[in-house]
Amino acid sequence: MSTLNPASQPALVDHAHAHGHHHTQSFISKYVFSTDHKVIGIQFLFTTLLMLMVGGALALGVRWQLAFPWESMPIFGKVFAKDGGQISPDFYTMLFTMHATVMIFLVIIPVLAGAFGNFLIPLQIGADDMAFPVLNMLSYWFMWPAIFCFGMSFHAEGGAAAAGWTSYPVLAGLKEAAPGSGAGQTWWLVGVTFAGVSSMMGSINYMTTIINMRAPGMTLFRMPLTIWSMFITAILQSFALPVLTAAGFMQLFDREFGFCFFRPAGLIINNAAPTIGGGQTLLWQHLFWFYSHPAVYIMLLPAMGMVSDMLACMCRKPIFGYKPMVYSMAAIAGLGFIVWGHHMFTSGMNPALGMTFMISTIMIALPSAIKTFNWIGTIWGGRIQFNTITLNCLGFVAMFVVGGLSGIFMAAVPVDIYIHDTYFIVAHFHYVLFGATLFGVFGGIHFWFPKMFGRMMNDTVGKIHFVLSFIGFNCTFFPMHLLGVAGMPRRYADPYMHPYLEHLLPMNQFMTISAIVMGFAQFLLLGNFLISIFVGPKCGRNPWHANGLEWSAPSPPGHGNFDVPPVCYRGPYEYSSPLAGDEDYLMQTKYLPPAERKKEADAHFHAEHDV
Amino acid sequence: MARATIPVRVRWLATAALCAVAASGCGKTPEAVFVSSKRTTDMIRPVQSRVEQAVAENFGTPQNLYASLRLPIDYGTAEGVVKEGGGAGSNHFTYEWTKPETAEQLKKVDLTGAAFVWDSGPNTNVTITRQRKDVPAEFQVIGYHPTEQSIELSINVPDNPEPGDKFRVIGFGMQSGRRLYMQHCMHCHGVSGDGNGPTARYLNPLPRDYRLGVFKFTSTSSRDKVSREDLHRIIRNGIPGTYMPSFLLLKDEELKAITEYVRWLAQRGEFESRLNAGLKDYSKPAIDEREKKGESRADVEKELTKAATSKEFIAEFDESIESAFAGLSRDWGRADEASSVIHPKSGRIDPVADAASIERGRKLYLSDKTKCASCHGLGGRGDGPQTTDVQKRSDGSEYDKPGLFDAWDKEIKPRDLTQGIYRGGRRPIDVYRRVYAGIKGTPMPSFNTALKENEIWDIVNYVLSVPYNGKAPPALKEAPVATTASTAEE
Amino acid sequence: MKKFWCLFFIFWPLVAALSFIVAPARGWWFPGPAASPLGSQIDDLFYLILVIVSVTFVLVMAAMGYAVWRASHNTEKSNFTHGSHSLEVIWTIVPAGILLFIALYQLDVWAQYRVKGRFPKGVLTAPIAEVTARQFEWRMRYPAPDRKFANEADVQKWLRQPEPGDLHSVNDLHVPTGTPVLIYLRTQDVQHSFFVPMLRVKQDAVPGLVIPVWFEAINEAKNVNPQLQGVVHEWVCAELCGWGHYKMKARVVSQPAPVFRKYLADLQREELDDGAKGAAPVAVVPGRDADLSVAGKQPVGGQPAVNE
Repeated sequence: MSTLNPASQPALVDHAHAHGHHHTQSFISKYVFSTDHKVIGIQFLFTTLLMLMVGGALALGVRWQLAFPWESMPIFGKVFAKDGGQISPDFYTMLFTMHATVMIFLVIIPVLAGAFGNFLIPLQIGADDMAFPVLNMLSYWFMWPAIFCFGMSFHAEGGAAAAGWTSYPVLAGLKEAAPGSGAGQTWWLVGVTFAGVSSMMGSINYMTTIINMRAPGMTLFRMPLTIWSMFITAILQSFALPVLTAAGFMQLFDREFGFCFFRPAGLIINNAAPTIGGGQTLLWQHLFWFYSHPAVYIMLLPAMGMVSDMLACMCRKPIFGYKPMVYSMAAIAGLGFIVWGHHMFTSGMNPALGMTFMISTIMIALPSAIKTFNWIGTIWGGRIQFNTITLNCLGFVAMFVVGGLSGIFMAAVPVDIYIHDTYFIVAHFHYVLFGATLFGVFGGIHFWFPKMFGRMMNDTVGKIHFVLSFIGFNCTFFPMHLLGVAGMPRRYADPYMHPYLEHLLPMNQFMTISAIVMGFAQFLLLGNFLISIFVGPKCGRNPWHANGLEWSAPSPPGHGNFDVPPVCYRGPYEYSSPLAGDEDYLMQTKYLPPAERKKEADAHFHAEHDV
Repeated sequence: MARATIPVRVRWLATAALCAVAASGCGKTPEAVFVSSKRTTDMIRPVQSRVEQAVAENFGTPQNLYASLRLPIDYGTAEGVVKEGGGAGSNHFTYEWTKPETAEQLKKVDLTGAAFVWDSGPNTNVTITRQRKDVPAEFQVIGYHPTEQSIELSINVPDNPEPGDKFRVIGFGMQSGRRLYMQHCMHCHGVSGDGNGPTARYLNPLPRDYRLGVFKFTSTSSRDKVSREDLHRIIRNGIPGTYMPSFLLLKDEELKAITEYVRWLAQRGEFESRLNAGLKDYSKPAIDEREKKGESRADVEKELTKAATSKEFIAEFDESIESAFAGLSRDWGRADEASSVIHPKSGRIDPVADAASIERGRKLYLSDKTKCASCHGLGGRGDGPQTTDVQKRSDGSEYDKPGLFDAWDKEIKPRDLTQGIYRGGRRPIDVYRRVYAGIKGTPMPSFNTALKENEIWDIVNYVLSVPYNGKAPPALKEAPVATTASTAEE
Repeated sequence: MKKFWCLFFIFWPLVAALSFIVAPARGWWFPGPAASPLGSQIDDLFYLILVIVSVTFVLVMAAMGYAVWRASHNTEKSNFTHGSHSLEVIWTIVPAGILLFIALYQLDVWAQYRVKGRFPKGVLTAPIAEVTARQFEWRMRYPAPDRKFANEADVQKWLRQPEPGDLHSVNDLHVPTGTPVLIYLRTQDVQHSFFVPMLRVKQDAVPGLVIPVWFEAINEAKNVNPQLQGVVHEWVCAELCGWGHYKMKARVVSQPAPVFRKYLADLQREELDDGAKGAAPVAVVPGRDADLSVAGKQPVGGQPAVNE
């Protein structure tokens, strides 16, 4: 297999020079409009951490209203000084809509693919940069128009988009339907399109890079699972995203130019003239979820890959069932395309579709289960080190199990009739997206921080952050399952005006307090992160004694990444290999004499075919 | 307008959210305020503050409502007796509620701000000097401590209350009315009942501004105010075709509390506009007018300011307060009298038995006598010629653009009768009353003198038949159809 | 410290499992047992999944906890293994079987609920009412009490063209108890969702569509509201429909057939009220002001919300 990196030759020459002195680049081209994948990755990381705080503030606004309905709200309430700080219900709809938007489009997707994808892909496959560095730079800088548009949405007439992040027509499609469906919604649609363009440019780059630029010896099945997950995510993204973009444009045309893709005739909204049209609102739901369900896996798979890498390293043990891990990720991606209908069980679509989508949805739990079992298999018999990374990884696995299992309830159509659009759903997707993905990201930040900045983060602060986040998270979101079973619908500014929900107020107050604790715990992470960049203890190339190619590069890697062009000799998870001698790791780049290599191949064969 | 500034504030909010998180919980919580009407804020400064002061003195703030006993409002009354006085010249004592069954409920209510009346004992006829006159003292509860069972009053009592002295605390119904209003109504109708809550400007039609004291759909005659029953019905059933939803599932006492609070807000607003009515000379438009005529603005303002601080002005103003109260009390009180409610003497003509009724109604509808079609259109689609003409205000000036306008200066459309949506209710009696008394604050006139009763019924039958291709719902029979059918089955 | 972390990860699953055990007693559970036969079946399926999922959860977490415990006390080099083919096969086939069972087991209830051919006989041509959602309330249109529908086309005609005898109400749907009833659900503006938690019914009202929804309410004696002679089922909107989404508070009242017919008769009398003879309006719906908490379920634990 020809995996020779076509660009590696000039890079080699470069390195000879680059060793002593740096390229003479201006500050702007080096740190701002940089084409270096590492700088871009770090830019993504900073931006998403900032957005995490913004999204968190919006979430706390939502939580405040649920715990103390119609009471003077801190910060946001000041907008409503005349009304005694009592926020208005349309503002509440805006809060949760923009919370979801910021968290999904500006935090989770870019932090996984943008930050970690960018930083890790060339390093882990042994390339000197991405295949298309300028495209890569653009993918970062296209995030800012998205941020700008979402920001503009806030000061549009009527306030920001408020039709939920799902943006269902007719609510989102007609200006009369809601205050936020005015210009705010248009800005929102444009923002989502920009975020999509940014992701798309990234995806194309990742695919090309992974296919073309692997180091010598880096066969597909020697790639770390992180790379596999990024690869699969990029494929998912590039196939699903066009649908959302097209749908977004269709809605834009509906709104601005009087098209009627999603607008049936004869609706009387806010006493406007009856609508003219012949469209189908369900069409939007199909198109939207055709992207947005795969998007859930876009928001999850890279974290799965990263956790696999970290867990193997921290347990000093090869990942259990490497190929099943890869196949199950591929299966999740494949099945992910044919399960979107489970968001629409109660939408009135053909009941036969309900049945098909139920079966495919329940079956998608299977690859997820396989992955979980393999992670446990990896821990089993390992020699675990309890540092922040391990804890976050274990947190990831535990939260993913909860989120995965709660998904079975809503995959089952009859049960979904009851729990659809209740807090059970809210609990479920927060367990998957926050519980799983964000803990994976927290772990990833601690794990690759030394490679990014050449320094270590403080482990004690990391552990405190983990404990506070973990407890805060579970106390916030676990009770949501119970709220869901009690029938509390989502997106209610004041559920307690319904007598059957009245008694849930104390529980919501408890959840809000937990959410505030969790929110403030993130300052620990932020502080630890920012301070460690400057004062953290310096580290060598391979502080974790890990196997991947990235650990053979300097920390932080210079321009062009590797001072010695890496050659890959084996898979990424040869921890505690008997061939490694006294060490308990065997780097992918480590050369062993032929006799040893024969032994290694035999061992590998036995390991795969015996217990 | 305060509303227009919101997006600007949201702008920095979005960008500063990060810093804001750090500061969350800090800062004083804002308090809700009653805003003055535009006519008040248009006055020159001293007059404006005089009006605002008069309104605030008699109605308080959203946090501290003032229950003026001169108004025909049921503020919710709790009766109690003194257990132990706090001494002569003090303002506190301990109490016991007379009705033990309400005692538990009263523990949960905040009585602060409620009015207080002595019914027996030495303090029944306390007077204080207010506005240079001795007037009966209006006590107010300023401290309420249900656990210690003690009450603090706004005015010190000259004599020590004796155990067993009877008193009433008036206004706790208002407290719950306000709470419910702030929860259910305020987002559209605004804290002040000015129809300008945070969501209001996105609604079509706009929410009612109570401050004129005018409500559209009433069962009372064209001269009368809205009755409690009407408001109760509207709140309970909602207004189809508008954003006013039905609050059917609130408890009856909650609906009553909201009704009283809405009446109170309406009277508060009307009080303000009654005071303003006599002060037109002091408003900006009047000054502008005089400036146009060649007078110097500074001179005019000086002259008016001087006039506004004169003794005569103050006396006249005090007078107008009294007459405003008298007027409110008379008008709002009369609306609830049984005689104010419109009832036809004979029942509806059955359009099934008397098939010609609908046709007679149609002819009347099209006739010059009623001119219904001039607004509602020949086919009842609400597209009559008047809707495209330029209309005149009551003072003779013309509106800027063609179309019909209501008393709030908002453009309105005549009802499209083909839709079968009747905002004031779909019962024949509702439609009858619309025709008989008109719709208040709108160009829909009252026909009680122009038409005879059976003619109104003919029109009602015609109107009710429009959405159903000429078939009207049948008239009420003595024995309801369904009951007979069901007994036959069993 | 090792012990602490192991206990930390074992502790939380325990809390989670425990919270599901105490939840029903604390009132953090279904708002009462399902008041419809199909609802009971849905509950059964929920409990079936809950049991399977709970057992899986406990086993997986126990396995993880044990693995972590062992791994943290391991002083040797890790066990060098790349996986096990047979284990992979086992943990693919076993969950696949369980999952497939769960999926197939659900199909029947779903078919009963949604597939027109499986609807109870005759309901499609005997609709109780047309329910129209709008921002932010529900409006009912009942066919005239003596209106009979010849066939489905006749029903469609009625749905297209209102008739003079139709009866109207808002936020208050009355249905006969003990028999399957069908409503036609539509919306006048944006998307809403018909959600009656106690009947376990949910169906979106989609702009442009008229969707038949059937359910059967069974009255349990202890829930009967004496004024209404029926059971009150709270009814809310479950699909974001704008800023007043939470305001769409309504109720379904299931009454014995004669009481239901009496209700329609009263409704008809109110609707045709001509206010003559100076009579006070007919006392329409008995107990319209009834306290919901009496009829629904008693809130257990927790304090009622008082927003003072």
